[in-house]
Amino acid sequence: MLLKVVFAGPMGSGKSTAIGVLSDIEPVATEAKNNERFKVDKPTTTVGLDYGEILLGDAGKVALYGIPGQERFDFMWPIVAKGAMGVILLLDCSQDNYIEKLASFADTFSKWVDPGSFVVALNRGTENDLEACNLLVEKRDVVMPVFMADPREKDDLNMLLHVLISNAEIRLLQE
Amino acid sequence: MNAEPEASDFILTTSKSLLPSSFQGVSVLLLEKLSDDDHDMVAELPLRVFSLMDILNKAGERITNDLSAIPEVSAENIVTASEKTTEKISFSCAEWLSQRMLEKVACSYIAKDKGASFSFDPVKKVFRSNIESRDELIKLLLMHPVEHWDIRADDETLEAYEFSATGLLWLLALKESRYALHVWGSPNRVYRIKHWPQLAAWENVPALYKLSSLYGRKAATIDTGVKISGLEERHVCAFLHACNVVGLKVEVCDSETADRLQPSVQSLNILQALKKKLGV
Repeated sequence: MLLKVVFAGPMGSGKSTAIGVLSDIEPVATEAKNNERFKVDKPTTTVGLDYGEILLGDAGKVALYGIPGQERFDFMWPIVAKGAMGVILLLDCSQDNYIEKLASFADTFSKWVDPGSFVVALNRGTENDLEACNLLVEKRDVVMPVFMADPREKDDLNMLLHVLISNAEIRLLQE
Repeated sequence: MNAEPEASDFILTTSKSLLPSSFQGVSVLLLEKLSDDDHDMVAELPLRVFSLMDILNKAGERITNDLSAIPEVSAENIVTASEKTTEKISFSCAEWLSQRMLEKVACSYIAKDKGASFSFDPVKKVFRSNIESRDELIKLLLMHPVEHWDIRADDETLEAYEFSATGLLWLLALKESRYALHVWGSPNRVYRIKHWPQLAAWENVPALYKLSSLYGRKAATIDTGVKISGLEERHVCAFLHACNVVGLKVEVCDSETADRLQPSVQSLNILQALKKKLGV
């Protein structure tokens, strides 16, 4: 049995880092030279997919996919999101346009996953950032879990996965 | 003495000494003296009653195991001594403080006995207190009515310890389960929350994740919350009360809504395995 969890978010939001922290295997990465350092100042960026796995023995495994954040790669988003247990959107609140990014990703991914399976993780945020995101989500008349989380912290990532599990369990129990 | 209550299957016998070990029954040694000759009373019960006791013992063990499996939120620790002794079903300290916060006026309070004091800063959304432990402060707030606290005249911030206001209000409200049951415990009403609580920061209890998922995904009754979470009714009500107090917007809806998606039943095993791996 295979579960799939997708990490989405703009460039530099920590998708590769999160997969690296969670994965039981050496993550597969497709890093290339970053030609958009004027946007996010880091030497490399993901241009294909990041891939990692959480191994669960006989029960199966959880495949972790990190999709590239640039919108020119958005053709692959629905392909990867198909059948996913959930999507974790990572946002770096120190980036100027993170609220617009939230709106854009939420609108796009809501076509493929239900709102409870779309978890928003705010890195470097404050309670005011959290409120702003909750307000934006509320205006769309959906309930999306929004949390403060650091993609470098395993406990934070476990909590995000816990939310996805709870959501899946609720659907299962209500069959 | 032989006693035959409703059927001959039950015989109660007393004797001055214990029966031989080969006797298949139960001997109950009573320590009370019955007469001047200082003999003990022994109750010997036949095998059928012995089996019944076995069944009862096993049931008792199962109940004990089940109780230990119930998440911490429903355990004894959430029902504080103050909650047991003071029936505060018509007043919520969490709501009172939440209102003060909404009024956006910073205020300091000191206990009538001049021991504990606290203040809140509605701009920074923090509580400050001379009590080091957040749990101790919550206990004090639960224990004492509003009249116990005087508004402090001086504006100085003397309190040394600082706590997130939402986190403190959340925990306080979770412990007001009697009040919550009184206010939220209507069997016919269905509820939905508009925002998720910050569980990792406030109260990281697995059952609360389930409740958040449930009431976030759909409008549901308290009864559905009880079934999904395994918590008692009053603790499900306390969850909704806590959501309301910290401003997560609890809606009262017309009817329970159906799910949009139906996942595979095969997912159950792998979800359990993943939970085990994550330690949740």
